[in-house]
Amino acid sequence: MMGINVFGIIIIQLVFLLLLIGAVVFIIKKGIGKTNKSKTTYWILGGYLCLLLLSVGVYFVTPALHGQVKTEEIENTSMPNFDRFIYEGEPVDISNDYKVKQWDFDYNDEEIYLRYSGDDQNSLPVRLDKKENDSKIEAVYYQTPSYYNGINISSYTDPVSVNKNGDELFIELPETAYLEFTSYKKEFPFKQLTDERFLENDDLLFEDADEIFGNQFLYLRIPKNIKVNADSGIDIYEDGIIE
Amino acid sequence: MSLSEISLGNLVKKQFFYKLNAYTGVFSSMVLIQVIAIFFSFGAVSSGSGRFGVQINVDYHSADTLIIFTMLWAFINAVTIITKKYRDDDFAFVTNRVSNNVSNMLFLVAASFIGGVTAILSTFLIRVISYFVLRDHSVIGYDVMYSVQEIFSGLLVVFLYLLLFCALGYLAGTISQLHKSFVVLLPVVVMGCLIMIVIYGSEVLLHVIEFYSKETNTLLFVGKTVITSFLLFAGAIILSNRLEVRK
Amino acid sequence: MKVVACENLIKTQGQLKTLNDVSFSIEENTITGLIGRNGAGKTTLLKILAGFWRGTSGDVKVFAESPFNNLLVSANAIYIDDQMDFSTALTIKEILDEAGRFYEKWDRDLAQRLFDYFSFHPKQIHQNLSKGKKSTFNMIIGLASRCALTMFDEPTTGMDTAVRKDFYRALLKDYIAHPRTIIISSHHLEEVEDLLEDVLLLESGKKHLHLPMDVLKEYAVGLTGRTEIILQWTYHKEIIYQKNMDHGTTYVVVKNDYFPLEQAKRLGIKISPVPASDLCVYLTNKTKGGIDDVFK
Repeated sequence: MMGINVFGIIIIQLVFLLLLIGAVVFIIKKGIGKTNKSKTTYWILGGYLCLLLLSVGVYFVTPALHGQVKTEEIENTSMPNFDRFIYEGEPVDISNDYKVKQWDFDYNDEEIYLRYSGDDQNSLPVRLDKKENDSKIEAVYYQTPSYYNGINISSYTDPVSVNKNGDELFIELPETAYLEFTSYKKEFPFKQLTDERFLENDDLLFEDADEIFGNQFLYLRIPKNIKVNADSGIDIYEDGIIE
Repeated sequence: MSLSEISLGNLVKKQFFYKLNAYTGVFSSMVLIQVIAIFFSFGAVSSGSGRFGVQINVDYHSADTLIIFTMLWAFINAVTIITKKYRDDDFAFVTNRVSNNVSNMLFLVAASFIGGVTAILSTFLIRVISYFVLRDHSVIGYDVMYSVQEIFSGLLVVFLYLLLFCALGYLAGTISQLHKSFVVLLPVVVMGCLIMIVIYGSEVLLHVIEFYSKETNTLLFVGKTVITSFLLFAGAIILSNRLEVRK
Repeated sequence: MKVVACENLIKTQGQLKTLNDVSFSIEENTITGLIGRNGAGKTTLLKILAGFWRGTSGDVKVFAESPFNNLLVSANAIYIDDQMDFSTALTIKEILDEAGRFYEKWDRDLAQRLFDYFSFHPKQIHQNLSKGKKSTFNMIIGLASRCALTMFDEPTTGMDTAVRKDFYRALLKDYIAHPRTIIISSHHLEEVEDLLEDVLLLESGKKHLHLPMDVLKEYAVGLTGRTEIILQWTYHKEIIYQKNMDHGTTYVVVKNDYFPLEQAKRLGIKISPVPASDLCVYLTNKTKGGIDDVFK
């Protein structure tokens, strides 16, 4: 399967390349075939150069264009990985920086049903801890921010919310936010002799985006005496053990 | 009878300036190709990725496509100026094969330079158009702080690549003038090489490409490209020195 | 000084010998007509002299140097034909300016005056000119370049009669004012007859003769008389041309060497000069009777 796929892509690339070459040949033949007086051509070339120089001017007087918006240089390693809290049952001790939202509910019933609502394209791991019987359910949503090319995109996404309705606790998953951006990258000739990281990139033209996706989980603390039932789709890890 | 004496250097100079006038089709096709490439650069490359609660699609606007178009232009343009039509035009006036080849070479150097300058400057035009005309979605992650050093280094790199493609095209064009069968054979060889690289991932050919494309030392890069171009031009001059003209 | 000297020149193109063992030389400041039928090798010879093509074997010298790939020859010899091609990016006025930069002896003034006389428009493109106009324009370049060796290959192709006459007149006037070596190839000798000093006749790649014009005019005589007398008279002679006429009379052309003309006259043979152009046609005919032989 994989082989056929790759082969198909190669064929498409090849056909594209052929069309490209064909188009360039055609244009050059056209350019020579028609009678173009040298003066006219130099006017065209001069006009084109003026346009280019003008754009250089515009580029440098428009701060939004040449300004380095990329402000946050994030080290991927500096951000906490929640895996150990979700899967390995380590005591949850996370900086409040990553605490996005907290909910407290009074609850006196003996059983509770956990349900997902919202966009089922998404799923959120839930860490479940049992605690003293104090008739209070505590939910905390932790999330590390996501960055795309150095821009924090967390603000573009809706947060998770948790609601209680009778004996059901709804974990409302956010609607997927579809974000469209335009981005620029430096052309390879600019980098070949000046960028130390030039060789790290295998592909000459298509460089991986500088993207960091945050991780998130819901931390639930429920009194010991309450029996927890959950929809089958929900990833619940109780003290690190899959229920 | 007094005979006019003309030195080779003087003649080459005259021919070079003549060619700047007579070969202007080369530049009009360059402008056309770059303008088309500018439009191409606003569509093709986009990358998408997503995780929890977010799906991101990013259109990359860059002049990479334009620079590759310009390289193709350089190659084909060099093949073109050695075709019969152009050669016969050159032999309308005083010339010999060496002076004609040397002036062609100088013309290609000049064309590579003009192609390089416009290609590098067009990166700014692409940014400006993208920002002011195509503002359909917000811009994320600029990587566009060009330092003066980067701009000049970029110009040097593009210029040398274009020169290399010109030299390659010039030799290919010269070979195809030697015998009619080469006209058919040459594209077959070129396509063969492309297929070798793309489908079979030929290591040898990739190494040849990487010999230039992975060179990050300025002096070595200049050395490699200039020496290769010179050897290719010299080959063409040697091959064409016995070529008959105005058949 | 010899401007052109060829020694056993052979040019093979494919299987065909387009020039076969041609030896001749041309002196400085002469006008030579290169005469021959289509395919006789005129163009091949001129292109070798201009340095465009290489001879296959034999020796060619132009200004005492081998012309192929020679800068001195290229700077001092110009070859004009109707195949001449100029860049389509330049107007014809710009082409004249460019030519002026290449040829040291270029006469800008003459070029401009001819340009105006033949009513060219400065903004025209060479490729778009009519055949006759192209030839006229090429002729201007040939004349104004004042090259020590100027070669015109069928220069009047497509020109109308008036322009042809103007051209030959211009050529002669300029030649007298600025003597140089000129070679004109043509298959119409009668057109250039008055202009030429020498004639080089080629036939199937071979030199047939190379003579001064006045010698060529006396080269042969035409005899008209009763067939049997004519045949008897020319029994041991080389007959160049023979044509049977009405009433048992025959016209023959024979080489004019020590021919007892007075005696012939007494026998009723009419003696007439042979025009050089006719002679050239007769000389290069494959058969003695010309096209008539085909229909015998």
